[in-house]
Amino acid sequence: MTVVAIVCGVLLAAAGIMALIRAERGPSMLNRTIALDVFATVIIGAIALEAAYSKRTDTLPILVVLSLVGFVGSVSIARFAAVEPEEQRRVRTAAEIAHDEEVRRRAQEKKEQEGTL
Amino acid sequence: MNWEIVADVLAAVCLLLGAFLTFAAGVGVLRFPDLLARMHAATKPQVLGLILMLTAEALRVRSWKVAGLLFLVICFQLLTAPVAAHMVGRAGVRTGQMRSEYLVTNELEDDQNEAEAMRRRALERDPQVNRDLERKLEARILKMRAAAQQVKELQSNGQQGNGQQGKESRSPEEQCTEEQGKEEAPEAQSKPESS
Repeated sequence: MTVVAIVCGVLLAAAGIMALIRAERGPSMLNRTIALDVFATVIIGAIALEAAYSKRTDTLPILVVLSLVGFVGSVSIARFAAVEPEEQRRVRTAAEIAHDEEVRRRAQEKKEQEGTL
Repeated sequence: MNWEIVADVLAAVCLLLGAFLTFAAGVGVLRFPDLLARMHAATKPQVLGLILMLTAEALRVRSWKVAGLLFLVICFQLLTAPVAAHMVGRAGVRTGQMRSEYLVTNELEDDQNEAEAMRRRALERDPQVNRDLERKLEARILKMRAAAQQVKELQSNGQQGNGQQGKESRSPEEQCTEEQGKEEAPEAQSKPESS
């Protein structure tokens, strides 16, 4: 049983990592939603695996809750999905965030100066 | 042979199959080219993989209470997974995130093309319909403008220098433009959505 548990754990971990990579890459909200759905399934599978390995029953409510919460998340994201411009689809790099912040800050300062004059 | 050993072996097989399906979903989600293909991959562990792993847990724990709760989890998943997949797929098609070249058949696009063709044919056969519609629209817009003008005159005749006046005098124009937008909306709707 231990060998089976280890093999299953490795498979689940690999699946989780790949789903996370897809969630990071995007390229849009819906793709990330699907990736996070898979990740939630991986978590459910991991909890079931652990419970089956050590024969415990106190983690069962977590399974019930997870199977319902994943649904709410993906449906609400899909409900508000909009057409995203190409540059908004990916996660910004640190340099881009700093640049955008700087532009925004300057615009605000300018506005404040105009307000005082 | 002891039946507990049999149950354990069955549970191990189920666990391995379920974990393999989850792994396959991970590979699919990472490597498939577009949204619909990734959705296809993602549904594998959501239903069959989950059923296998929860069956394995029930076989290991061997208690009817636990089996009932696990059955409940499977029921929830069977109810919610199709709804979530439908919502995601619909949103994906509406925001144009599928690639037509990967589809063998696209019945939605066929229907949209057919509807557009029907509309064009109807217009060609009877241009009068179109002209009548335009005339009606124009008459309605003129009526709106006249009403707005009337309201404005009434206000300028009435109290002046009131704080609310600026707001009120602007509102008829806004209403008018809103109505124009509404009038134009049916025409825009008759065109098929570009997906």
